[in-house]
Amino acid sequence: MSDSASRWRWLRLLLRRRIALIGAVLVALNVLVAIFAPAIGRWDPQRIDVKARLAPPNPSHWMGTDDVGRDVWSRVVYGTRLSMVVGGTVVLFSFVGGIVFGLLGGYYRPLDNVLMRIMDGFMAFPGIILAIALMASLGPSVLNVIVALGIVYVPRVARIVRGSVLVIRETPYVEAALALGVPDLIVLGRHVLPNCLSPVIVQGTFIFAAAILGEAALSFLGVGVPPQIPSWGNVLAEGRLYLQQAPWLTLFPGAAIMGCILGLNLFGDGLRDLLDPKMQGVRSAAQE
Amino acid sequence: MQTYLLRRVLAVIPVMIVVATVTFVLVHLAPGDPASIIAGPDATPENLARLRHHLGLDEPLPAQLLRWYGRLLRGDLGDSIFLRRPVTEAIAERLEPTLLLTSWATLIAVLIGVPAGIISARYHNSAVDQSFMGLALIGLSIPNFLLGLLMILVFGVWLRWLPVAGYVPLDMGLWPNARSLLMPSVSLGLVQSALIARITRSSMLDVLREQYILASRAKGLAERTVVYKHALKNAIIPILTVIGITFAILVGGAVVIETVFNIPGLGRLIISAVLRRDYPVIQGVVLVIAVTYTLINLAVDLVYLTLDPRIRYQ
Repeated sequence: MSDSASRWRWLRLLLRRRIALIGAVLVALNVLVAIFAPAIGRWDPQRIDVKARLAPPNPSHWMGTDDVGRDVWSRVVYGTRLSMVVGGTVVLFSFVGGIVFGLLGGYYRPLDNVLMRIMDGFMAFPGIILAIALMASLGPSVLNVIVALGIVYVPRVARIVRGSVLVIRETPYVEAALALGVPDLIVLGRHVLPNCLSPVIVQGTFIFAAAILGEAALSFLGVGVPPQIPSWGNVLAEGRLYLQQAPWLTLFPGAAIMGCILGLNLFGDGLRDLLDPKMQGVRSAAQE
Repeated sequence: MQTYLLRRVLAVIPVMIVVATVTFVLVHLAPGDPASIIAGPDATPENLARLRHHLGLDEPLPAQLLRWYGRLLRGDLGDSIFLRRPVTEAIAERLEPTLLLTSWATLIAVLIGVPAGIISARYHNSAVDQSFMGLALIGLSIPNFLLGLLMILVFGVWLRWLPVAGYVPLDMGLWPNARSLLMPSVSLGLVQSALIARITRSSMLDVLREQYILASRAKGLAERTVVYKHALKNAIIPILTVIGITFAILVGGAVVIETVFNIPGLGRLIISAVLRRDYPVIQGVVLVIAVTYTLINLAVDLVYLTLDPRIRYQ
């Protein structure tokens, strides 16, 4: 672990695969656009210019303007930033919740039954339906979108973690640690957790993608991020109303979503082949 | 086998209890209570208190929860605040488009996904396999509502082959109905077929590596018999599981697609309920969908039993 060459070995192995490399480049591109949004955006995404409304792409508005004359390029660029923030925080949220519940359930048998029945109950809701219902109670805001999508993915992560913990807790090294009198918390944190992370990390890329799609869908439906905030889903929602006059409102944010999700899928597939070869083709957690 | 059957059926109960509890909690999470929404902003405090008492909102939460369970057992989902009629009626009215849309989409997804997956596995690593999997990857990367918008743009606006939006009820004839659902079902089903194709392929590849496949090839069976008769039979379980999951994804997708194509189904119902803060309707739709999904998963599990004797004797 201390040797940095071996720490980054997995990354080198990953990038050696052409597909994963393309994915990584696409994801990196999105991250860079998100970080440097103010420099790349050129226009204030909120700036209204009614005289220039629904202008087709031109040298000053690269992707045209929307129905109140806001610059689409800038809204797509800031939308990238929002998508990256939402994707990243939803992954973090679902990892923290899912790992805690998964460890507890897998390790403490009496808790397992109750916890897993609750997780099953949450998974009985199709993800987007649960997210819509949560948004109805929480009200539209970026934070609430993150909380709603986070709640959707916690049980999915918890299931994966629990599955691994059930196997790991029977291994001789865990038995040895317990026999030596190592406290449960340390056994869980130092011996169990690190060994059940690979499938979770693989799912992380797919949850990242699913969260971005989820935010876009919620905002498109008008129950996600408030409409004035630039988000891919919000631009698409406006685009739907002007599909005939202004197809650029649909085509450009659409291309941005596809590029981003394709990148994450390629990267995730590569990561999975590397870390978790048994799981080829399976990605149920993020798709449900 | 009977104990397995019984266990599997009984396992539905705790899931249903959690589902009912979550839908209850959802509403109580919201700021403000249903009474203030019904009464409007100008209600006097006395009127509000009377309404609260009438709706049972002044009882302690556990009592309200028990009453909610009791009502659900009687099939009573309460009244819509905005529509001023029973939620069950409003749902029944909106069921047709969503059911038809989901069914067509499932059919399209399975009819494209399963054969594509089988062919990819049979000609593993060939050009056909690679182009199918490339297409599947693109399919997984395009959100269904975006595909819907693009289809409207191409077939509705530019080519003018199909109506851009709207729904023709089944009473008006099967063909006009199917025509109005064509683009929505294709945009839902096509995206889903990508997932089914991938799972079918990997499931088939797993089976094709087994010893008995080698044996049947060694005894000179035609490749067609090996793939379609011997391998497919064993690869079918994971494929069925995905088809079960497909339903959940497609119902969720239908909610979004209905907005794209202006189809008056459950999706439009729940979205307009969210915008009007009509909580009983939100609760009702969410509950109906979750219960249906749970029952479909149960049915899928029971189908395994008849298909795979190995599960039966576990």
